[in-house]
Amino acid sequence: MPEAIDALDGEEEARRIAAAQRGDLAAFNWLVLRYQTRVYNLCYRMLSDPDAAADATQEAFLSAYKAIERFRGEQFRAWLLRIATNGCLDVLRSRKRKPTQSLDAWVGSDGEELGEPLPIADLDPSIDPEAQTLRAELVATVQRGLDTLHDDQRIALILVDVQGLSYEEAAIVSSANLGTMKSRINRARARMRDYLRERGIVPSVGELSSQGERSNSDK
Amino acid sequence: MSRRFDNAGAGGTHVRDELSAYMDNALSDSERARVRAHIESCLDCRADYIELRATRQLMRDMPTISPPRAFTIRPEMVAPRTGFWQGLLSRRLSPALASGSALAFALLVLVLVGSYSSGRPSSASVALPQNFAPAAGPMAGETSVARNAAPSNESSPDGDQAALPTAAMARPAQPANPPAVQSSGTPLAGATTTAGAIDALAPPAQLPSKLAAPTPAAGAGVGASNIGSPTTTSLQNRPTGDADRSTQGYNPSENRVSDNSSPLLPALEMTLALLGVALAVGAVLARRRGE
Repeated sequence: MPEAIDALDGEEEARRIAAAQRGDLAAFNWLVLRYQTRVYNLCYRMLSDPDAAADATQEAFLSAYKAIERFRGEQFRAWLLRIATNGCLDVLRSRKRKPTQSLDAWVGSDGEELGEPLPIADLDPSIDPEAQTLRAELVATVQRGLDTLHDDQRIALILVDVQGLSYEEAAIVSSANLGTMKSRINRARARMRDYLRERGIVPSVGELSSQGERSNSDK
Repeated sequence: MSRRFDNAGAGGTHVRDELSAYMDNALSDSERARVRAHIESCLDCRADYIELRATRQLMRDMPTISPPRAFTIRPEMVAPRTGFWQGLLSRRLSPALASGSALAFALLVLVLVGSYSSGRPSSASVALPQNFAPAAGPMAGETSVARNAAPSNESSPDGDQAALPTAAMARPAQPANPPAVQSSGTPLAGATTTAGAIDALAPPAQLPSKLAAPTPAAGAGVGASNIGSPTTTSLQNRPTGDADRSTQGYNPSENRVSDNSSPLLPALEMTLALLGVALAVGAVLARRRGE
């Protein structure tokens, strides 16, 4: 993602953070522009809803601005992502309490899953439409798989697999220790694997090599 | 998960739990070597490994979505709050406000319990009308106020003084009053500053063992006050409950004492109660809005 940090960038960021802590809004907005794609994508994968993701992103930056005086240390990105994930968790909790249109919109009245109604911005326009459709369906299925995970596991997978964070940084974001993060990743990936294998997206390697004699008991 | 191949013995114990960390290079050198050795010999774990890697790849391939707009902060978004109440009800503050008002409300209840257990009939006497319905009910209906009745009350001054310790002993046992009784008493206290505070101390009636005794006394007190001053009676009586009436007239001396000390208290308590309720409602509303 765009904010890949080299040493110079790190210094620049530290300066902007310090300025923002003194109330410099322009300096803070520099940070917003630097991280908004990452924060938006995190919220998007967490909430699987573009509008809710935009709201959560704005809310996260607002909260960060109000709290930046209290920011200490050098892990600004992890701090910011923690604010964003906490905001998303709030949204998910209130959705569970009063399930409304935003959830139902993706699921038909009879529970039938609808396709992901999202613009896939980064699709390569040179590939043919059919492949593009297939790709969009694949992405939608992976997203629905993410949606089936427990919140903690979903956060872990989004941070590590989708966003490419290290276990260490993901652990900081989630206020968890490293061992917890490792086992979350492992369990989350296993669940995703099961989900995707049931839909024929991940080949069942064991089944192939055992000539289809695998028992069905793990479904 | 089913065991697809049961040849764990070949490469030591299965490494299923370490596969993710292994593929993410999050294992120590020795752990990594052990996992590698195992999956080279264990088809089961190797199949798992391949599947998990494919899964990870699918998630890594999730496209990055371009943000629909810039999320930069505009000055008006973080401008100082426009008003005190808006600030109070803002989402940030509402949890603090809610707990604060809950605390205030709890304190208020404590204050009420404290003041009424020494200034008002307790649940025992509030319950009286039900037990006494046939006897006290009709009489209370026509009647009766303490202060005027006092001089002609049957009980002698000595009797009153003798009753005092009893009352004092009875009171400590009463904080167990259900709060509902206390709070339902609040409006009464606010409405009738004196009557509410006066009618309280009726030691004999408060002790269930003495339930039988007060009845004649109540009758006498009631009768006397009827004669004494019917007008004041009806005025002061209106807001108080049957229980209050049935127990009035016992302790004129004590009545006077509470008379002096309490006129402001009920009004104050009423104000506090209203404030507490308002704060609590406000906090709840703010929370709802925040969701």
